Amino acid sequence: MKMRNLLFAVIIAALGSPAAATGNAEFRDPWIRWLPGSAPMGGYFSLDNPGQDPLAVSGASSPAYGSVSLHRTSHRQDGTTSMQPVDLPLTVPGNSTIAFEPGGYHLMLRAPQHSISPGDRVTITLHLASGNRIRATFDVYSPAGK
Amino acid sequence: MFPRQLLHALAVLVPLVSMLLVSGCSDYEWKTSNITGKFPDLEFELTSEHDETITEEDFANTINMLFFGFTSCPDVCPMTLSRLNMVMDNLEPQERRQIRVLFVSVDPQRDTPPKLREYTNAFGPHLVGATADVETLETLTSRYHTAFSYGEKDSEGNYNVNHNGSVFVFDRQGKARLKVTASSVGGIPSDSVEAIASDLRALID
Repeated sequence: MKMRNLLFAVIIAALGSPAAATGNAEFRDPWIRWLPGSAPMGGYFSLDNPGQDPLAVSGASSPAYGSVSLHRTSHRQDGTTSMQPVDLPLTVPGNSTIAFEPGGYHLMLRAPQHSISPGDRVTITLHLASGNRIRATFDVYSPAGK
Repeated sequence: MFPRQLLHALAVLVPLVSMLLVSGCSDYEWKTSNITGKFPDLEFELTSEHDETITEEDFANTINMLFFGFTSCPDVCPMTLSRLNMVMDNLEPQERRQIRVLFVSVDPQRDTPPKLREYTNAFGPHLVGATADVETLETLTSRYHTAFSYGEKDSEGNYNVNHNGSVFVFDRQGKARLKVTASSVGGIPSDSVEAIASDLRALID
């Protein structure tokens, strides 16, 4: 009996990766498309939620930008495309990934606090409804992007 | 006498050969959306990024790509223009020289000529910025069956502009030939760089 319980424990431990056990959300591939002048820039990444529980993103901030907001591009019925602020919190279900990519979800980065150029690296923090924060370093690319 | 006969022969041969070439081209299967005969010719009067009046005559004898956007657009506009940059990279320099991209801002309130110039310079020499008053822009966009509208201003005065993401391609004679989707929105895929480059090559030939 004890042996069987131990076996189960070993199997469960083997199935769950360390990340899944702790539920640490992780950024993948964070980057910013630089634009000249006062044009707002788009920030992109994937966010993995390896935990069982959903992850609620309540906002974002950066020391490099006065304003960081979550937006989404979508098609309208009249054939035009439109950008809308995302309703917060944005929920990432457990064991899933949400992609912030051109033509969909993106971070709208306004009011640079200092001169930012392609080649720079910029820190952005996602705020979770739980009070936790996830920070990542974004690579700044030229307008041609990645 | 001989030169005159040669001229006569050429007068017959040249159109014949061109006809053959054109009919050869008609076998080409377009990879983007063929709008030949469905959309009106390129015709406009706009203020350029150099604050000069420009018309379609300034764009004669080149393959022109027309795109309506605005510079305060962090997502769709740069995605479209960067894809067109990739298309240009895919072409030979002598092909590239025959193509221009006309970026028409539908946000004249914010997109002044200097701002447009700074923006287009960031993408490359093939890109020319222009704009006009709202009424002129409405006439031009509706000519190509598209529209634009303005979102509400936020507390800081920022607003979104709803616009069409299509790129219209005109041949050297100013005839509308292709509608290209160079951005992928909401998971709907765009035309590939190779497809767009191939169609442009077919228009150049």
